[in-house]
Amino acid sequence: MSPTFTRFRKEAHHLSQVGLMLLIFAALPLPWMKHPGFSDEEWRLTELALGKTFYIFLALAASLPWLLEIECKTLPLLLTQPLSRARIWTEKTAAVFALVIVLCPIWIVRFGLPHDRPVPSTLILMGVLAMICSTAFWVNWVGVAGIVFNVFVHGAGGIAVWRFLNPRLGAHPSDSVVRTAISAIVTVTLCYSGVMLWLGKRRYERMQILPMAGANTPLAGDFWLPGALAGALRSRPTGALANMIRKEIRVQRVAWILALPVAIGWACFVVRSGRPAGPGLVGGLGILFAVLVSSVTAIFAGSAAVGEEMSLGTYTSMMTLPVSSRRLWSVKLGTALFAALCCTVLIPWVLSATAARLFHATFEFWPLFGPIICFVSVATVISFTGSSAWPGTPAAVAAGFFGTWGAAAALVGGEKIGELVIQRWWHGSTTWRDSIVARGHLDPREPSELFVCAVLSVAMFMVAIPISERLFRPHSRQRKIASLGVLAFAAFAFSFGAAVAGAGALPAPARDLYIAGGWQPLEDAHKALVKLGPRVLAVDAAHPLRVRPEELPEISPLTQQWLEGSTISVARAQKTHLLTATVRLVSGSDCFIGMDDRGVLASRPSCHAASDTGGEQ
Amino acid sequence: MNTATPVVQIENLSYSYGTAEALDNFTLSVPPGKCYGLFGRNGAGKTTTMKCLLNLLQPQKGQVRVFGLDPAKAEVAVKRRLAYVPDQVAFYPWMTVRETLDYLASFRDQWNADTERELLGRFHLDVSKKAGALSKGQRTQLGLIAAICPEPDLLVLDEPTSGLDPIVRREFIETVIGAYQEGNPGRTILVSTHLIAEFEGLIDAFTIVDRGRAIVALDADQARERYKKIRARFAAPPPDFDLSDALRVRREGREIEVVVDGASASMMQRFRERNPEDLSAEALTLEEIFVATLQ
Repeated sequence: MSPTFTRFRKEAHHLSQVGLMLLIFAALPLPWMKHPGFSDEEWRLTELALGKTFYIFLALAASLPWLLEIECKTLPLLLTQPLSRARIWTEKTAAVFALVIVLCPIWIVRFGLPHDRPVPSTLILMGVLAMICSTAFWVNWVGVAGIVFNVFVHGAGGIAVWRFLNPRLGAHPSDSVVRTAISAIVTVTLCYSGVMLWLGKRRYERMQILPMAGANTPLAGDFWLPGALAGALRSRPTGALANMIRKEIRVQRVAWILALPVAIGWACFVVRSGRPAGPGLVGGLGILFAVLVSSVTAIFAGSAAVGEEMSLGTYTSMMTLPVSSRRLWSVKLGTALFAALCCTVLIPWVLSATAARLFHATFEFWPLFGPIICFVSVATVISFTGSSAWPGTPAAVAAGFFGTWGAAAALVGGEKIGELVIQRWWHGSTTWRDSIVARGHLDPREPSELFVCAVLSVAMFMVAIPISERLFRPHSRQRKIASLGVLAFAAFAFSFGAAVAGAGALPAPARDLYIAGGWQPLEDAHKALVKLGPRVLAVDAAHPLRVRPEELPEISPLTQQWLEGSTISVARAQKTHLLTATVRLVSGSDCFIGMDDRGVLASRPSCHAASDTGGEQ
Repeated sequence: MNTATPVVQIENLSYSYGTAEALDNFTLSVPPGKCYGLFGRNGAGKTTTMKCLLNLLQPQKGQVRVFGLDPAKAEVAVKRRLAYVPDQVAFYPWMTVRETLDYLASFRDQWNADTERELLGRFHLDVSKKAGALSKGQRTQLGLIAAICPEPDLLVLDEPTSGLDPIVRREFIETVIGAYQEGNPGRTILVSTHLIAEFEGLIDAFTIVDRGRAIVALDADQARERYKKIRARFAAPPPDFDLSDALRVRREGREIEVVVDGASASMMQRFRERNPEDLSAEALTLEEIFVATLQ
């Protein structure tokens, strides 16, 4: 076996594992998982989100050859071997490109590129190339955080370039314009990638092995911290608990830095949503972006709490401090949750509110924060538990990624299984959530966002937290597979429960739309109104019609239960053929069914809680 | 190898971690074929020195030459002729001992399989064991095997015996290091340690580092000749006389013990003039020289 092949095989060891996971991910039977309540556009958003996840996995995989040397503390060993750093860099880069060459076609075939739109297709492919070429530079500079910077810089760069090009290309650009745009994108990206490769190689050749292996990054110092904050976070001679919290806040440095793109993402979409065109596809993509970055932040926050201690080699000394391991664990988990929620909810909320005031925009995404809080909390706890089981930050982050997104995938699969269970044993009549909504005469969105997520998150915590506490203690780590098996089962139970409860699959906006659009009693009411014929469809603009629920023909028992005591009024807009049926529920919420005078839905049925002050009509 | 050229030549090397100065105009010259000790307290700058000559750190000031070459410019040429065992030996946890050795051998032009087999047997290392499952001492043993098998001209050892049990430590020092140099007298060892007593019989020359500066650089024999411990016992409580040129003075009852640097003959004469009951002089061990110098 040639020496080069021996070394290549070593590089391929972890890459092949990540590659295999990506292949499994790509092989998921997504069309089977498509819920009937999803419109084509919503499903396209979901697939796009999954495609983006693949992009993040690819970035993670590309960084492994560099990160693992730091993580395993083998960098001095490697760099003192009689091989030039340039050669080592070349071999590692070659291994990464081999992986990309294998995986990218699968990604393209599986998730597809907009073939009918060659410019964005080129932009996506070039974005991947630029990201791969920049990995060595970012990761060897700032360690694990380099993955995030790498994804963020190229993701944001790609969107910025597209925002610049799109209006200039127009709706139907000529072939010559397309060719010019593609040539420009390819030329600029190749130049940029070449420069980044060179910079990465240069950084690797000049890299110094500083005493804090694994923390060989500007993020470890006070470089990113304002002086006053660094002073506040400095340890004091007394107050062990406060010192522990201060230290944990510093340990969470990657999460704090990630708060910025999350907040900027939200703020941009708040501003965007204030425009006449409304949030639309861009708004949806923005939410997906924010949800994705939020989940990445949660994973980093959970993983860093223990992973960083192990990477820095401080774990053992930490565990020998005269503090109970339960207290150490609770401080670590508490701070990780605090950091994750601050970075994904509090800071974005403040920045979004400020942006909304400055740009006179309305923020339509407030309801999403409820599920995000639940999701971020669950993802943080899963990642924290993973980091307790696998030593080191990269391993913990990888565990967190696969754990959290595995849970998200299980959510989609669980939904399908949940549907089958409902159809087989509950005769397709109702779900737990449907029953709650119908009995309470509620807005169908309410329990999914606030009640179901909260209840299921608490249930998940009840399983995950004791496992996390047990795995945190070093002597319990031998049983990690069994413990994580229980956690995996709990994650599936969470997903399955969510599905049975009808909370639907990620992403949150798609779930929101699904609930509003796919709420069976609302559809039932629409069909019943149409069946009333001209009495409803020919209603006069000057004389709105009032209908009692009992008058509606052929409605299901669930619909009867939901509409019990409600009032339905049908009105025609002045000088149009559009009708709006308003269902005022006993709970005070209003639901709206917009249709034309043939009974065809003109817009998606929607609901408002009684407390809502504005919104769609 | 040109025997006139020092294997390692460091001149006025300075290096700082931020505001913390690790090396300050440090100078060192290691002749070929010697076992050279770099002694110093924790944080004295030993590891930083080694990292600079291995091109793991870039000198901020001064000059480093290994085999007469700049390790930053002639990186591969330098590394081809040396092997390094760090203080914290780490390997890829997923690899077995066998895979680790194969992997490291893949970097080398030559690899002595007989030595490898012999050392694996001597250290009782199971080749099918994962590196992640090895103890700290076993990792050090594996690191030593990986460093010795390519038969480099220079072996750089940074606290090599830390984590080894006393039997393995003795085996390592007496047999492994000895055998390494016996195979080719031109081979050089640069060892950094503060467990000086263990290397007593092995060290040919040494430098004592303190706060980033070279305090003393001597041949071991020359040092033993120069540093003496003079003990005198008097019939009555000893008289007061000038001992200010002694490195260390200890008075206990009728006894006086002094450590001197170089001027042992004149010191002996001074004691003799005061008619001691018993007067003896003995060479200091390297550890005692280290302690006396830094105190």
